[in-house]
Amino acid sequence: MPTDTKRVRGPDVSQSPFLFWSRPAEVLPSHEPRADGRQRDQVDVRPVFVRCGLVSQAKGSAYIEAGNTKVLCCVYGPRETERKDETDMKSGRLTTDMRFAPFSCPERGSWIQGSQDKDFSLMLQESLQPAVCLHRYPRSQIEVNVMVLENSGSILAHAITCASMALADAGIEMYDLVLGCSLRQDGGSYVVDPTYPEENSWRSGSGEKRGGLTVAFLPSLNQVSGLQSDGEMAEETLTAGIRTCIEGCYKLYPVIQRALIKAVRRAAPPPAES
Amino acid sequence: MATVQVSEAEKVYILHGIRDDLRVDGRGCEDYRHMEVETDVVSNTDGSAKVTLGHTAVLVGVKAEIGKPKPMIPNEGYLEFFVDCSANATPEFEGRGGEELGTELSNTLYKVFNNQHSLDLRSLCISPGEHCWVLYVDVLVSSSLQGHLSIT
Repeated sequence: MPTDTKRVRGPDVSQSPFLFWSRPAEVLPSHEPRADGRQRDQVDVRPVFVRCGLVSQAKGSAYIEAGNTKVLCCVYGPRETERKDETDMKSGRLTTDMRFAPFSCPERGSWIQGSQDKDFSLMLQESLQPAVCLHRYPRSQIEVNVMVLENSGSILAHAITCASMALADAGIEMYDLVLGCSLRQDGGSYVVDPTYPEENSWRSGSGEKRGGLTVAFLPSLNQVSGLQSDGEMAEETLTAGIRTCIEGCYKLYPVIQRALIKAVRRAAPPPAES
Repeated sequence: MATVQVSEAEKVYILHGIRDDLRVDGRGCEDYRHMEVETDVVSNTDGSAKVTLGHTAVLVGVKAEIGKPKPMIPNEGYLEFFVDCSANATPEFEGRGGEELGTELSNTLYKVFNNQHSLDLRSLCISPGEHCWVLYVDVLVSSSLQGHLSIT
């Protein structure tokens, strides 16, 4: 198990002071309105701020903010494959890396990648791969690096959206954009685009139909490229949840398109009318 | 078993067969291979099972140990999964080759058992905040021709 030998972290048994504070009722019962004023049981996603081209040294980059969630993505490539034995003659390779900044979650994380980071990286790669025209970049590799600056819920969905915007900003050929949307099923009702407390409140409280779902969707081709779910939900709830997430992706689509058009106009301004 | 590269013509042949509900080994699209399940195969563990599906064999051992519960959830025990894809299975798993697949499988197992109904974690508590049972579930993929997750 790799350990961090460069930083003095304090004794291993140190715990966060939050554990010892008397917590107010953490459980958000399913009939109460959501803390930030959005509606339950409706496709009410948080307003999103997106900007492309913020990192000048990367080929393409994108930054997305949804509520307090902040995600930054950089794309490098296509460039020569580093490990020669993995060079694929017919198509390119897409490598993804998703990292959480240590200050991003309420509990301080470590710089060494945990299994959760690797899990998200794999999910990100599986969602982006069907959309990128890898056969146009033989013997090359495209690197997508996602950095989560603040985790306020629904992180995988926004990382997927951010990564596909960065790929588009880098000029990588794609069949379609990949948008992500997530949902939290809480007893009989659901909340779309959950915040961090909404995602983690299910631990206290029992009952069935508590689970989360993240969907990666290609809007123009109407195809689902990634699906991740945990907790337990009935089959009908799950299928209804997927449809709800798809609707959420469609709501996000015009905003992303406008941001990309703005970025293209900035990079290559249209010729002046003579 | 030696792996032979599948030619383009063979790929088309397989796809056409699937369209007619006929796979290469004669099964229909929804038929399972022969499955065998045995329990209590390893005597040193507190519980074990061996599942064989076609040519894939997976061996699982569970050991219970007393540990400290997680700080945020003091009145429940927990499970720890570890999946090892050994080089016995296929030559691709030699050295660190099987590590990626192993991590993916163990992450999926964490998600699958992360609910209230598959196992009552409160029954694993001995004294809240101090002692609890920790179940270490170790999975060994011993021979493989795909299809690992459904078996685990």
